[in-house]
Amino acid sequence: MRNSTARSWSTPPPRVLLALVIQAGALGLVAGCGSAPMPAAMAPQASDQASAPAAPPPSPAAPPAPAPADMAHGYAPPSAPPDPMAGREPSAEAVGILPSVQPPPGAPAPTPPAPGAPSPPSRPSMPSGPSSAKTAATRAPPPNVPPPLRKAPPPPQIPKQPPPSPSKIAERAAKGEPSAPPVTAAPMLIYVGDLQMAVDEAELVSTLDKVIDVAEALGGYLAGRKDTSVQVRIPSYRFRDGLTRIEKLGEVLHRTVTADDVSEQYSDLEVRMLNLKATRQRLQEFLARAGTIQDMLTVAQELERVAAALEQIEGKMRFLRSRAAFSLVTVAVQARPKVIAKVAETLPPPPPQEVQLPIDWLVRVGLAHLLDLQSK
Amino acid sequence: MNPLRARASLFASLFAALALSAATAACGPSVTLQTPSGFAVLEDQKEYVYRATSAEGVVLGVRAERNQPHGNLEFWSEALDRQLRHGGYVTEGALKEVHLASGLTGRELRYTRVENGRKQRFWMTVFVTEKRVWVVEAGGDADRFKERTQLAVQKAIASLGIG
Repeated sequence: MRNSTARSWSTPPPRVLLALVIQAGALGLVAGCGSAPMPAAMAPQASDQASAPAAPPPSPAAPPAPAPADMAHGYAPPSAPPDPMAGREPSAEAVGILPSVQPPPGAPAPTPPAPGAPSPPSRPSMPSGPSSAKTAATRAPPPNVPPPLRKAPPPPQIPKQPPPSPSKIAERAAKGEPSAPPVTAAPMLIYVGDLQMAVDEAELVSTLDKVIDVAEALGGYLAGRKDTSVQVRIPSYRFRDGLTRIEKLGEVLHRTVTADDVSEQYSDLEVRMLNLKATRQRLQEFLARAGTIQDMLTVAQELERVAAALEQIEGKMRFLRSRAAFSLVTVAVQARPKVIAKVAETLPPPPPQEVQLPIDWLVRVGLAHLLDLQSK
Repeated sequence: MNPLRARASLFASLFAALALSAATAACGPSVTLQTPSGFAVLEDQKEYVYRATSAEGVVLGVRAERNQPHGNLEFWSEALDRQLRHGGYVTEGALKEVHLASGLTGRELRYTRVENGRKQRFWMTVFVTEKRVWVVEAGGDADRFKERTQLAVQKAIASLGIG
């Protein structure tokens, strides 16, 4: 009964705390990068996860704590490389705690346990759901430990705020508000438009210039230009307006508009970023309290890995935000074909069709027969 | 009727039919022409009613074809001219009218053509009667069909008699 042993500690010993923080950091890296190795001795055990008490239900007003990405996607940790911490028996408390997300400011704190009640783990474990049960199944349980039979509690109900109607968003875009407030509940869409247009041959270059003018007038910018095509970025909330203006510059031959919804991808990145920030905070706290140089070095290494993963995620999020904020419009122009009627007027008419008269001897008149003295 | 007499009558009828057909054949198209000097007349011609050649290879021939479809001089000269030009002949000089001693008027057209790098000359004179189209052809290598031969051929065409 490792749990009872763990509960008997009033304050976790430094070694156990170090293992706890490093494990949290490793999980955060896994969530962020998907390739960071996790020490084998620190891999959470399914039975421990299942035996850990569920987190208290959040307040309806509080936003839900997002699940770590590795749990949400059923991530199975890769085989662990040799680690200096290997061989140490982690406590049940250390194993059962997964990195949690700091509640946003303003959210009510979880209610403390009543005095006299059996002391729960010092930190709440992450809310378990179907995805966490699936992840627990993928992780190999230790021998002689029966699989958990406890049913995972349902995910907390999230009070949803009514998203702004598309008509309101369209109205804002139509008004041309340059600094339309970001609507967090709205889907994050990346618009891409492709236009193929035909213009007069003499207006090929000027049409491309006009496309750039339209983009700049709407607050966009030039993204690239070739001989017969141009790429501009237009603020997404003026995408339709821009496309309509550009289409008036010539005869539209082909039009393609795609909207790529990256809301889920962005939300995942956001959750990973929050997890990593929480891990970084705990690592920094522990670094301040580290007793030995070995502990400091280990924690510093973890901090470095967490910071790198954090930067990578923030970069991806910046990229998605910029792509969603400015839509890409590619305009390819080609010269209109010349009017065939004019060409037909300049060409001479074809010769009249030769008529073969039904007179067979006509073809025999000529030098060929006349000079052939052998024939009679 | 006596069988011997009947048989004799049958033979007499057959003989008369043969004689008539022979007479008809003898009444086919015929021309009279003063053969140019230095030319020899070729006998047993089927396509031409008259054909003569010089030793150098300048040939003079006369065709007599049925006027069918029935056309006048303008029709036949135009049809022959188109046919020759379609075959690569190039007109040389303007169309010229030829009057025979019998009062019949014909049209003369002159052409050249390049064959195997050699220029050739070809004259065609057309006469049209009610039943026949008469075509007088004369031609040969341009270096051999020259002034002297041309004069001789012109005289021969002018002496044409159509029967």
